[in-house]
Amino acid sequence: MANYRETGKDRWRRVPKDYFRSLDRLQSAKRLASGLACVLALGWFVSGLDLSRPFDRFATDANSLRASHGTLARVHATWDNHCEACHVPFESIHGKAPFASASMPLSHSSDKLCAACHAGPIHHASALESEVKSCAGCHRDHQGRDFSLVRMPDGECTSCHSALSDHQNPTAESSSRGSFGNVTRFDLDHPAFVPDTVEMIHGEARDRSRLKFNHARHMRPGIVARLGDSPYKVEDIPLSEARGRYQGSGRPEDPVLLDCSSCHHLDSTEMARLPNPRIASDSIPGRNPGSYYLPISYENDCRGCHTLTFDPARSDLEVPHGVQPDEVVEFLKRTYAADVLAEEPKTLDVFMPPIRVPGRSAIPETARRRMERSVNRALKSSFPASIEGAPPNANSCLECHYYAESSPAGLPTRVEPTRVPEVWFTHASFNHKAHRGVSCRDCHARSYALKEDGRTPMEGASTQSADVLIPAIDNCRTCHAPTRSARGWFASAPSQPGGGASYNCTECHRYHNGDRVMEGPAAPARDAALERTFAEFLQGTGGSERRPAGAKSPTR
Amino acid sequence: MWASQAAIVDFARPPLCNAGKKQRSRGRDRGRGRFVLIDRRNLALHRPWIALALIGTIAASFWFARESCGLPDWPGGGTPTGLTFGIVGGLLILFEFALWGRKKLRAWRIGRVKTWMAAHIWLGLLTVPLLVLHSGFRWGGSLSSVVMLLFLVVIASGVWGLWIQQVIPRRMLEEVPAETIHSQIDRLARFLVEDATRLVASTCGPALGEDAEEVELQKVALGAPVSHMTVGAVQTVGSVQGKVLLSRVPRAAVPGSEPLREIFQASIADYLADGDRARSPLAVPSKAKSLFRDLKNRLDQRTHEAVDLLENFCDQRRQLDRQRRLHGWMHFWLIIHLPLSVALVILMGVHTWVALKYR
Repeated sequence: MANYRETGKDRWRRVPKDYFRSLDRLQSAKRLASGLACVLALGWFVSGLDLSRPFDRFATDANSLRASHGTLARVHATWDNHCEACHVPFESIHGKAPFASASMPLSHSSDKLCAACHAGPIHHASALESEVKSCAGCHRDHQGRDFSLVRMPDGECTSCHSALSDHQNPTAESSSRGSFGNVTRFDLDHPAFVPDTVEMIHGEARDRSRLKFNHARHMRPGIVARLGDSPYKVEDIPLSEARGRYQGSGRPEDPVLLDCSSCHHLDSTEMARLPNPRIASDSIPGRNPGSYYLPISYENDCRGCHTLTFDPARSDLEVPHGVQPDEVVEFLKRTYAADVLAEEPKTLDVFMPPIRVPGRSAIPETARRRMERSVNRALKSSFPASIEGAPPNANSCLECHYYAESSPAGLPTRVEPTRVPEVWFTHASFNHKAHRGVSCRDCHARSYALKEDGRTPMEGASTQSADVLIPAIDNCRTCHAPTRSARGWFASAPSQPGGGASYNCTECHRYHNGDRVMEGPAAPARDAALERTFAEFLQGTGGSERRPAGAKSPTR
Repeated sequence: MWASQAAIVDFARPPLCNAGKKQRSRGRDRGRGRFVLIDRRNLALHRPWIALALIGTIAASFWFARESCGLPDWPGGGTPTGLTFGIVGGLLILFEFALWGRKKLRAWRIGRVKTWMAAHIWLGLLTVPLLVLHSGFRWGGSLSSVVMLLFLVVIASGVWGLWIQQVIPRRMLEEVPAETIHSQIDRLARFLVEDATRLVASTCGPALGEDAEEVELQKVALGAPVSHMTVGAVQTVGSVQGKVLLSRVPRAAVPGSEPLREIFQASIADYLADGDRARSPLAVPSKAKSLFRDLKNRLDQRTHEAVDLLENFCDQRRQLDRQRRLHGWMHFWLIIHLPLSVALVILMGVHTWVALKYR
């Protein structure tokens, strides 16, 4: 014992060899926390299960929310918890499954679910079938309540329109292929505006409409043909009920002073406030209030001055507007015959007392003959051979219209339709109300007879309706372009306004029903496919066909 | 009294934790490459994985950028690009998770653990660009948000752990030469108490009312030899420092050494047993040094060696506490990293199922 010495080996024997088998506090904590994490993760998901559902335990509100890739846009918020209102399980909602071969057709299964509420009319007949995306291919939801599903990014459009010929069906009819230029960005390479009713004559755009209208004269104070002429006054307006409209805060003896809003009205609501809203309801197509100006109508915008009276003795009578000459003749015959018949029906065949014409002997005539003479006199008033030197309130048809055909006697037999376009750009929408803060002159300068000082004549003021007064694309780019700082300091002169207004494709264009800009969301082409009860609607299921099969607009 | 039979190095030197900069620098150099995960010496092991992670990141970014051109928005997880990143990233996460199994099943020898760890680090970092690109820079719904959040926290905790594993081992080497098996710290503390008790009993003799034979019997019961005694100590020789065993031959008890017994029973024994939990001034090196210097002034010259040994025991105890703290820092991140990895793998599976159903 005296020679015993404890060695290092002896000392380390104090540590049990299987010390690693027992868990220290750290290891215990790791195990405990791992188990807890496992339970919490599974518990979080399983807590959303509906065990009462034997086959679809996952389809619960809680799990739908958990599975969601994000909250839906406000318009779809009802179906936040109902995935299968829009999704066909295990089919790609984007149309093309990842890694699908090029030959594999796109899946449009979920489109039917979308079309239950709103159809999506085709974009263009010449689009390649394989490239037409499903609804969700473009309208990507789950990006928050305030996300707009219709304001598509430009890339969705330029993916085809930057090289359009590569994305058109070569077998489609040439007319449906169109002749649109390639475009990548509005401010860079968007083709010039060419309204459908405009033709290029010797490099100048001319409007093909057949209405005679002199903007410059109408915009001059007093509607004078030349400055210095005797002005047309408010008290000269033949239609007494229209005088108040043009007088404004002036006096009756003041010259008539027209501005844009004297004739151009934004929508039917404004129209209804007019003193004589005689516009036919069927001439107002479905439209977004305030977006477009109503078509100019004779009844509302011309008749106040250009009353179609034809007999100075009968100033209460007017030739109906919008009819052809033969109908005018019939109207006149009926009018004068009615006058005669009102006095004595039998007088039609009785010789009337001779009318003494200065310088000529009295000619006895029947009442019929006298009626025909009155009609001819009225026709010469309505259909003169020339309107040279006509007063401002001239009321012949030739004042505004062209004759297409005339009889050998010189009377017109057909008046050409005016063909004034309802909208100038059928593939692009424009909202005048959104631009009401800008002066009309800044876009339509040639519509004015005088410059802003009110004295200097405007150069190039429009005197013919063939003049195109729609502004060119550069006028839009003044605002609808990147700011100058974004474009670079050398891109424009320092005095040029900075731009900065939105210039996305969807600012003007619509994909669905895009060639009918006047049609809004309520257009028949966008109708819902199904009729649903409230309960069915809220669940996003069920419903019955709204229309017989085959009557539905084609959808994709 | 004990006579040293081993080469006793100057115990009056300051504690090792106060060693000079030069010495610390040497210790750092000594530890480099052997105790940290990534270092110059083991860079060859990491190099292929670093290259793989870099190439993967660049290739994924390039592909993603190419696919994004002309698109209005970043490609999401449902696109071919995003789905590829998702699949690869998901498989990498499963591989990362398999490290746990590899450590548990050491006997299987499926590759070296070092290699696994290198792959774990760099492929784990590769998952960050892959899965961020998979997300298309969108959080998505609650499930995908939770999965992404878990993923990011797991990655962050892993990076934190990597940094900790780079730093702490060096400090452990420098500051805790008496390092032992962490789980055995309490057990070794008990041995320190026993050694010290025997040392004090031998130096001071039987206490008042205590039978000398009983003391001898107690020593035998503790398993220690009567004629010799071996105690652990930390010594420094040149640039080498470490724990050594010293044998002492007991001599006769020193009269008048009662203050040693009293201070041992009042504070030293408690500190050796409980360490920092005892809230003793001995936990502070400067205070301990002062205390033992005062004690030596009050005692006979013959007891100074025993006092030095007791001071050494206290220093060991401080090192064990220091080791416990550093060990906690070095491994605490795993309490976050591992459980969240478990949750991540589970919810990733759910996310996969849900994404395939409602893609």
